[in-house]
This record gives sequence, structure tokens and C-alpha cells, in this order.
Amino acid sequence: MEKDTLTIYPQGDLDLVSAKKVKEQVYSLLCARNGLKMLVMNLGEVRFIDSSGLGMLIGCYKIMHGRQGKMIICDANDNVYRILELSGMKKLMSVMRMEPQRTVRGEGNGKR
Amino acid sequence: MAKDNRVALKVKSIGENVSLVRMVASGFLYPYDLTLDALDEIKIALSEAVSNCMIHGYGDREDEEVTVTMEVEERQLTIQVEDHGIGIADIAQAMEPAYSTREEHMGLGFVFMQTFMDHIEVFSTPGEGTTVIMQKLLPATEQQIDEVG
Repeated sequence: MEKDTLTIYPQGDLDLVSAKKVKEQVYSLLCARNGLKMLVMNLGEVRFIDSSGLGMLIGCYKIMHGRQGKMIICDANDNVYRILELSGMKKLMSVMRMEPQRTVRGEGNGKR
Repeated sequence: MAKDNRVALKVKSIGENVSLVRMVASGFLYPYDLTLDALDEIKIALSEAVSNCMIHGYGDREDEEVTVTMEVEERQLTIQVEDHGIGIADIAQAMEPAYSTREEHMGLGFVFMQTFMDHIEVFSTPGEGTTVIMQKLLPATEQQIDEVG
């Protein structure tokens, strides 16, 4: 089960530049792990998100949806959570306040 | 009470400058004692306007310029964001929710600007550029309310 889940921990501001970087990294991870069925986006360390950041999340969602997988967004602070609500993201995918089955965080890029 | 103020900055059209403009806005608005929510909303609107210049106005060309002017007069904030890019042929259509010329974008930029600011005006001439003017009355601080009450 653990192997089928990838958790990403983006940090800082998710805007034009950083969203593109995260997107590229996540896309290559997803390409390398075709069997992956669950993507968890932990936004606990994200201070700011705009529509570029939301676009990145939608892009990831589309990939997971395309492979009959699931995507969960979790741990967003109040401001980021409000933007997720406003943008209708909550209607599209699971947006949880806390991370499901919280475990010890991996090192480096938040990949585990 | 914080003094009225004005700042103008001209930045190169590289994506990194979107966060730079937000940082300048944070510093510029600091004396006006905004709540974090209110500050965040303004930063999102600004981020969208400046990102639009770079993505749509200049089509990701990085050797152009974006001009941002911020002004507070009696707690009325006016932000002007200007590019000399491709322009918008149909402004009403561009401002519709979910309208986007690019597939990976959600068409939320103008929606956020409209949601988080009191008033927004867009002037554009195809081939010449676009100017977005956004206004918001900064909420009074508790201290000011006490002084009046």
C-alpha cells in the first residue's frame, strides 16, 4: 500500500515559477512510477497559492484521474484552504485538513 | 495613522519577479496594519495581474517590462499593472470565469482579481498592451476604530 502512494511536500509560495518547478518534478516522478495510484499533496509548508499553483494541482489531478488513481490535498493553512474552496477544487478532489495516516516525513524533496 | 504613499516599479518580465512584486507589496502595505487575510487577498490579485502580463501579454518572452504602481490615498489602495504586450481583443470574454487561452490555465486570474478587490478596470489595445487598475478600500484598523469611537 505504501508503495502505491506518493506524498509531495511543496514549500513556500506556489506561484508562476515555483508551480512550474513542482509540476515538472511531480510529472517526472509520476512518469517513473506508472503503477502509482495515490498522490497526496501536502500543502502544510505552502504560505501562498495563486491560480498558477492551482493550475499545477489540476494538472496533477488530471494525470491521476487518467490512470484511475486518486489525489488528495491536505494540511493547507487557512488562507490556502480558502483559495482551494473558492476555486472549486474541493468539488474536484479530496481536500482534507490533516494528512491521512500521518507518518514520519521523508528527507530532501519531501518524496517518500 | 499611516501616511499616504506611492511606489512605482518597473520589472523585467521574468516569472521570478512575480514574487518580488508581492514582496514589495507586503512592505508597502505593512504600515496600514492589515490583517493577514486582507494582505493575502491583495497579494493574490496582484500576483494574478502580473502573471497575466508575463504569460499572456508577453507570451513568456522574458526581455519585456511590466510596470506596477501602488498608491494609498486615505486608505484607498489603487494598484496599476501595465504591459506593452499582445493586448486583449475581447476584454469581457477574457474576464469570464474559466475562460483561458491556454489549456493548463484555469481562467481564474480575473476571477480572483474581481473577488479580492473592490473594483477592477481593464484597458487594452491589441498589439499595444494592457493596463489593469484595481482598487480596494483598506479596512480600518482597531486602533483607528477606537480613535473614532
